[in-house]
Amino acid sequence: MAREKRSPRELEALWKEKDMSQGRTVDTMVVILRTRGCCWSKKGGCHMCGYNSASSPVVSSEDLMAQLQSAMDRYQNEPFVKIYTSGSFLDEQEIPLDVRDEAFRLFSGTERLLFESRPEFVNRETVAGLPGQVTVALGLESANDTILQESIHKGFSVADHRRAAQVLQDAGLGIRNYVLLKPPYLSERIAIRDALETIRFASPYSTEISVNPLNVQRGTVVERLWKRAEYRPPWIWSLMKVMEEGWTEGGPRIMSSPSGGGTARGVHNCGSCDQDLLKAIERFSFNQDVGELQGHDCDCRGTWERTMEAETALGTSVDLDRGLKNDLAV
Amino acid sequence: MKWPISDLNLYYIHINPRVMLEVLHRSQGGRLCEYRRGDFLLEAPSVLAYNREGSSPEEGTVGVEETARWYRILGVTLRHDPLILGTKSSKEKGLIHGFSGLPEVALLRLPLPQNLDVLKDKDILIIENAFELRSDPRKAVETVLRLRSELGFRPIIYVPGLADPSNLALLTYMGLDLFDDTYPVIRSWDAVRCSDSGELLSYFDSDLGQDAEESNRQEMAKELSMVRHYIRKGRLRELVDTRVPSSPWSVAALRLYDRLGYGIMERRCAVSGDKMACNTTQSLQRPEIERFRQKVLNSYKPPEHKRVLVLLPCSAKKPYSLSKSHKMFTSAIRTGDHETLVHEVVVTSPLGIVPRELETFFPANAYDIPVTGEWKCEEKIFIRNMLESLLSYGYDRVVKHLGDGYEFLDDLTETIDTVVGDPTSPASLQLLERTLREVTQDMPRESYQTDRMNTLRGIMRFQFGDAAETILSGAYVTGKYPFWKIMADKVQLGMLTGERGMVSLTLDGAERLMRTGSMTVNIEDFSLKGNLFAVGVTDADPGIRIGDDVAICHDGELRGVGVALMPGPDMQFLKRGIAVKVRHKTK
Repeated sequence: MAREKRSPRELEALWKEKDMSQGRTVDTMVVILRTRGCCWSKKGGCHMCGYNSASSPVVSSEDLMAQLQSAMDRYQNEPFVKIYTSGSFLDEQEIPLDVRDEAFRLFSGTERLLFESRPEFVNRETVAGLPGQVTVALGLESANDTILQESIHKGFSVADHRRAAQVLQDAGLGIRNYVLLKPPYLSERIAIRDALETIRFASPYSTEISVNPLNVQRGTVVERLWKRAEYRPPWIWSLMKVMEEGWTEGGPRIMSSPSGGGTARGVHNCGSCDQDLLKAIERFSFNQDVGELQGHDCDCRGTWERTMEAETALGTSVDLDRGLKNDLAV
Repeated sequence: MKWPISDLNLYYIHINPRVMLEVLHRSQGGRLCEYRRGDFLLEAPSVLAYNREGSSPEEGTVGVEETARWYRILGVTLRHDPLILGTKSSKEKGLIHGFSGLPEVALLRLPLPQNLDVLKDKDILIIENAFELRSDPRKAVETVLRLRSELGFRPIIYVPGLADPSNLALLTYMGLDLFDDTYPVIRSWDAVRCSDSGELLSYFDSDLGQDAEESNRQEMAKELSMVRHYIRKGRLRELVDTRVPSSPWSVAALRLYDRLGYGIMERRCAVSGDKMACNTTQSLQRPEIERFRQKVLNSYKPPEHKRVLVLLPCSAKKPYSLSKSHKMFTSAIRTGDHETLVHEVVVTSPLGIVPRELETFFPANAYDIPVTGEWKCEEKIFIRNMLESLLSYGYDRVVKHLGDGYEFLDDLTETIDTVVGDPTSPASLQLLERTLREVTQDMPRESYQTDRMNTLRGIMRFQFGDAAETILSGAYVTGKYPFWKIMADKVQLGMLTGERGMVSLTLDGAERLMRTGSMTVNIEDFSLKGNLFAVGVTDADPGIRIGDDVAICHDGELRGVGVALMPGPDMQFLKRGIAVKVRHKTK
């Protein structure tokens, strides 16, 4: 089936959801602009990122202006607006300055405005031009350089990230940090440990930390591993453990809204407890009540614990759900 | 990008370049050995016990601690806490890690690094993610073959998480040394029983009453003692042949291993032996058998004076000559001076064709195979190929004394069929005798001495290759087959003995062999007291196989002759163990 030809004048997607602003839950509009795509994806990109496909090679300023206008058409004065680009909002090759300024003008009335950027586009000049209600989401993913480089192929170092975060901090802007749970080639235990270390590293300078369990996207290195049974997305138990232990009194908000939660490609457990646990995680993301994450149980909790011991004992990061399966057992 | 090559002792050089390894028994690629370090002993093959989390390390166990794995061997706890667990198919090439507490050990991750040089002086290799090979028999075979072809048989190779009771024999046979019961223990958590014939679900035996973990550990221990037994007897392949059909992985691995590993493994296989059973289709491809077929196909020449080829069926008793049927055949063939013109050749599986003069060689003297008169496709192919190549030397007549079931050979050449009913029936034997007399009627006779000399030449060529010509220069034969004395100028050079199935040289024969340089072991300057130990060897012909007759010398001066007890390359890196069982020594 031929893929539907996508117009550069159309938004990639737009929806409404709840998020938090100034300590309370508010209506939020999410806009995904169709841009020429992430600069890093053209140099190989991150192992888990499939957002290459959410971009077109040629998108002009006028196209982007048209996309912004159609977002405005559906805007109902939500206090919080998030503008995603599948790349970096502050990359002028992706979002030309006039488009950036137009976006700020159109959404100047919001209480909170969030977009994402790689650290190389965050500097004193760009930040000086940002309105005060801006939060910049940074994909730190891991505070471990080896993992950033070899497991994620992120293309920047922890120091690069820290410098960008400092610039935003100095400018008094909000920072939402993304922590990736279980990049490829990590065992579940190492993944949990790394996510917790990353949360501890980023907490002092984060407004919020969003824990993103890896979901297997099309056309990625991770997908190739997953198809060969050499990768399993994290368990929901792991996500809960990371959120529970990563959260600190007086620390940043810890949140997670997993893509593909409960599916084979996303964070998942045995299938019977998944939805309840994901709901608990969602509640916690808003109310920050650690009690939401506690007291859950399911038969698969023991499986999760044994699988983690087995992975370590076998020295492997492959998917043991499938790796230990033997259809010929008598 | 590369995985980091971590630290420490990559360039550790041993003070003594010889390894503290003693190989007690060898069987094909498998071996039973002891490695010593201080007061500690590591035996191989061994199965290290997996310690459930929380228990403390004891000698011969493995376990985990948070994200780390530890191995307790030789009195040292080796602990590795990895970060990136690249998988066997990662593009990046694997990690190599050393341990300061035990610098003889290196830990590596698959895929294997491009360059294995840093592993050359290591005594023990741990393949951290060997478990992943359970999903890829080809990768398993390629990994073992690459390690063994580049590093030789010096290192003890440990494959954590790979073994279970059904593949332990195969893995040992392939040249792996150390295992653990991690995988069977992990399977027990899902109540799966691991047996030597595969995995069992909800298996229940009220008499046993034990839990799955205990049962799986016991199965491993039981299989390990089986493996050791078969190695001690030099017949590990037969255990492998019985275990392998329990899983597609094992069947595939053995098939690939027989094919891809032939070049390396054939050199580990003895050229002598007692008995071997070839009961499975795959056993037709075992290296000793393949080596025999290739030698006959590629370097064997029939004695040049033979004019009439007689094809005979095999017998269960070996060597064939000792069987009732063959005694009947030979008494029908050897009835006059025309017999020297007749070349007796046995048609058989799995060896293809066995010329009479090679019947005492291993494995022609040792094999046993179920015979039902049905031929497998591949058997027909190799028998035809080998017979075709034999026929290309040109016989005046071909007599087929085979009986039913050999029709697949009919189109190869024009033959005279001498079987009436059964090959041993009086009518058949009479017809055979009469036919041979008739077809040789007008042929010039050949002397018995020439017949024996040409026959001996074939035997010697089979055993010593091109060196045979040098040894045989001016030689002649005395004695009664199969006990022939090889003489030259009234000095004995060697003797063909029925029991050994090959030629044993005297010092004079060895002197001649030494001059060719092949099958020769060079030693330090000392006179042999008893047997030659590996530590005294400076270098040895890498073509020497267990069971070969070898010359021992120092600086061009003969010191002795005997039978090799280890492959040539092992004589060079081992410190312990008898390299050559000495038969004669110079004063």
